[in-house]
Amino acid sequence: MKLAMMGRTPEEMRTEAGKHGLRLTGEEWRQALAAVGRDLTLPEAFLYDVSWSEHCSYKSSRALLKTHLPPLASHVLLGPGEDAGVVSLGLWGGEEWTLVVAHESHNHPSQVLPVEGAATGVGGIVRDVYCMGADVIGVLDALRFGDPSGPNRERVRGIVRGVVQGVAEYGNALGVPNAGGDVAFHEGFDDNCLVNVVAFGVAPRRRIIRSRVPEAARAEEYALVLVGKPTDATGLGGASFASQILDEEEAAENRGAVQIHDPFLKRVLVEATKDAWRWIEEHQVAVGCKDLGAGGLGGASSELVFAGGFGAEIELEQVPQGLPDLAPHEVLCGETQERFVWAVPKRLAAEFCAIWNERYDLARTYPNAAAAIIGRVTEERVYRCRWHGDLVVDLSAAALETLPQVPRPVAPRSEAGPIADPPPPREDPGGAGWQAWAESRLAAWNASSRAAVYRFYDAEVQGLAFLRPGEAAAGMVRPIPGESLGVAVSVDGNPDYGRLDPYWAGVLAVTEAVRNVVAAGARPLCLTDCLNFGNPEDPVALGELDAALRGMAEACAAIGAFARPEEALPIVSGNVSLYNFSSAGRSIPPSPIVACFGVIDDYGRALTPRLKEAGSYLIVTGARERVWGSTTGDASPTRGRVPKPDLAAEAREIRAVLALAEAGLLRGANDLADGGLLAALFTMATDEERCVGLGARIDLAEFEQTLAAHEFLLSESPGFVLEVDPERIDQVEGHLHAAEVDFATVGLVTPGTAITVLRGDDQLAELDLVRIHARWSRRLESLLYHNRGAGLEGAADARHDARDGASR
Amino acid sequence: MTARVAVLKFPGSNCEAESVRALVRAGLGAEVVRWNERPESLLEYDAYLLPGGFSYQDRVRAGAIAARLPVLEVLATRAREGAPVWGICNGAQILVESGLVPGDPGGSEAIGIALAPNRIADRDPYYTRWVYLVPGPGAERCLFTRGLTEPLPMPMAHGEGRFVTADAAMARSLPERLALAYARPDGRPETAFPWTPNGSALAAAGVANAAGNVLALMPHPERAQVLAQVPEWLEGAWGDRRRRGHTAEALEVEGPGMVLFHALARALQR
Repeated sequence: MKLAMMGRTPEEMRTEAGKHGLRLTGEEWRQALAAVGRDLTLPEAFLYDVSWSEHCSYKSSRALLKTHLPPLASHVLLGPGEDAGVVSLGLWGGEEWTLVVAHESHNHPSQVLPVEGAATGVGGIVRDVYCMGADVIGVLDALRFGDPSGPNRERVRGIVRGVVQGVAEYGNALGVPNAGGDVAFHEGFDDNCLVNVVAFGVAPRRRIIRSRVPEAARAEEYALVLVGKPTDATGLGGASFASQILDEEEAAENRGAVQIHDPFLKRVLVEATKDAWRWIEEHQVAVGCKDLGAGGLGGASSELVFAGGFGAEIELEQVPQGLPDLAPHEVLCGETQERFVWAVPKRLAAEFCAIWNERYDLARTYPNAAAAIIGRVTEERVYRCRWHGDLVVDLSAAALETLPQVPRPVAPRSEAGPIADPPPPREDPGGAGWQAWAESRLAAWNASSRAAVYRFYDAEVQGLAFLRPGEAAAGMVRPIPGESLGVAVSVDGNPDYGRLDPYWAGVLAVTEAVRNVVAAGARPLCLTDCLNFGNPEDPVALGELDAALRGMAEACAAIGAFARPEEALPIVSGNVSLYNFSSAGRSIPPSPIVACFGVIDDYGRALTPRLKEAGSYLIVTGARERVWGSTTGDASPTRGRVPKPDLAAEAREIRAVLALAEAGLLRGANDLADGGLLAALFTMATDEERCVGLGARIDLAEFEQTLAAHEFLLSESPGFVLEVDPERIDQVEGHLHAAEVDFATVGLVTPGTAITVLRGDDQLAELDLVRIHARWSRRLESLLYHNRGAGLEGAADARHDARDGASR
Repeated sequence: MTARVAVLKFPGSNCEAESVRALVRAGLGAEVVRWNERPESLLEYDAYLLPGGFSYQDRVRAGAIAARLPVLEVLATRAREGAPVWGICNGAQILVESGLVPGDPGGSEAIGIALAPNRIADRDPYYTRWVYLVPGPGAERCLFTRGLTEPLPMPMAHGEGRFVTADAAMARSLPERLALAYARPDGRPETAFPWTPNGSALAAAGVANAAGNVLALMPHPERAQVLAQVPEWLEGAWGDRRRRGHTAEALEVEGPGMVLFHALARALQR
């Protein structure tokens, strides 16, 4: 059966396709038909619908990505175009090792079905790394939720609990540790939460598998093998759904487009996959592999063959099926989770399948799960599928690789921006007011302890953790047991900066991720990103993406690749998520979210924020300005001003601090960002459960007197706080001077549990950290524990505090 | 001859690799054996380790399905012969579900204890944190804990780890099978949260059979096999050692969890 569209108007085409739940526009159908030159079968139409969705085709963002993203630095082995990015880690134990990284969003599914949406987010991103031949050793989750105290608080809180449960359920059962992440609350996410997930793995370089059929398929016949869960109709149209505006009423009917997670089956598949890697090495064969994500089998298998310059003949009825009476378009495009497609030599395909079917008894682990030969690779670059003998898909590479051309004008924000640059809070809290001021700041939704979230996550499985969530500015793992190599990871992005200025949000997402890795003493190696924005058909929203990308690119160029500073710090993998926009007309705060990966040759030399010794000097780097995001306050900000650091100075400062760390001249370090110096010092003087027993005495007279004391403490101008042995202070200061870094030695580490703030001889404040810790450590429990009513009252307090100029 | 330990892989196990590393670090031979291999092939091993994970997706109850596999019959035979059998986390749940722990000298397969969902005020059961273990009243009868004195910190990560007893008789006999109990950092046993993180009876973390060769242990010693795995903030002597290590070399020395693996190795030498 074909859809009768040839010769019809675009509007008629759209109506015809719409009858089948297809979502492309009339003009896009016109272009698809022009590329094919005839009417489409229903499976072909589904394949176009998925391939040309925003999620898969990047039709709105492609031109912007091409304009802005820097060329890949020379240490990158594989970049965009593969399922994950690959960079070299150098020689360890006589073998060249690689780091394999991927980054994606699962925003819309998590808003609709939080547990399943978040879990399949984790499940999907780890597949991208496994299919490259790398064992996944960590995931990070960047979560953005609405205002837990706002008008939608019940729904927001349900989503928080569900998403955390989903992330935990999947990673814990799969046996992949949580290596970090962040959580931010902002009323702009009430209707559209963000769930960004990052996965990273390691592999010896010789084991890396490409996302394409290998050249060897020209010399001998190759089979296509589908491995995993039996195909069902779940997730049909998932990619197209992700490319739509979230509509409250449609949400219910879109639940069918959310995939279902199965970390248990995945664990068995992964163990079998590791056996397959050994098998591949023993047989010395070239293979290709892709995970099945958006577009299901049709998307993955067509890309696998076309990327290698081949075509395919697939017998769709050979696909293991979990439901009776599936139609060919469902088998082709259903987004059933936990599947991979492989290209292997036909002569060995049966033996290859036996790894799953016999060694791991797949069918008895999950009904109808299997590895099955579903077709063959062809020289002719045509993608053909048969259904019980009938040819149902017959598309040339030229036709299927055609990209939709859509007009997407870009416009800058109006001069004033959505929120005018506000005046700063007027008053100093003054005298006894300081304690309450600091408590309400640090117990706010966006500043409080994240332990209530990560106590649900297993950070220890695999036994590779070195710095766990909450322990340092970045997470750190020991990827190769017995070797001294450490890999540091951090994922960052401040929603309030996105709201205020997307360009600077892009810059600061890059610099903060880099700073966190450097604060742990590691050398940044590469970045990944996920760009979460609103409706690309709105020129201003697309202009926000344009600005953020420009900011990211300029920051990458300014910081540079650490091996070769003349090259830009590379972004090796990423994802664009658009249409984060509810039908009520609310777009999310523009959210570029960036992950940074760094290496340290001896993980034992890693730095942590935890204060080490009374008598140490404390140095603050970076110019302090009157800037802050309201992330120090509650999730319903009314004011804020984005930091606009000088990029050349940023680069000098970051490199200088890394040099100090590598020379062993620092006792500890923390990054200075959200929450300013107040938050940075507090986290240095406390851990998850208690005060460290050391505090600080800082003197603001060391700084120019342009900032009031509370402005200074909250200033989010990027920087570091460094703890320095008194015997090394001259050396450290000399180094920072020589590197032309703006810094001040502000005070000392003191015994006890207080932070004392002086200005010359005046004592301005003495903050009791024990009391702050009691509130800071419990705040998020009100969202994640059952006695959830308890948080609402406190929420109202914090909101009040933030609104009335942070004085109380 | 190096003693050989079988690490049993069930569908859903996920701690095989680090368990093998800890056994090898203790000087033992370690091999991963799949649940669906010929059960008799297990007879040739000297000891058995059931690693952590989520076997069979925790369907019915954690460990319930794996406990009914043919390989567990082989383990029961070998346990009766005195071979060490050690279940960690999900492995402990399997041993308890199979009745191997607490075991029954009379030979019936009656289930005497169970691992119930954690009981933590106001929150869902699954929880993860570092805990401190000290020898319980039954430690001297158990080959894994005989002679143990110092508190051993290691992480726990589970949703169903609360030891409960079936009846009053079993409750009375639990202390003599209690090999490891949760404690405060200074070594005082403590039943209150968070030191006992799951509401377990008698602060029970590890329970053995009467003969002391089968141990069901909920926390993860294999995740504390090198000093590097100990967190910087940890209280007590092991935390102090960790804070003094400033190079990978100094941190790649044995961690607290190895005490239990060495006890196994010593038992296998005899």
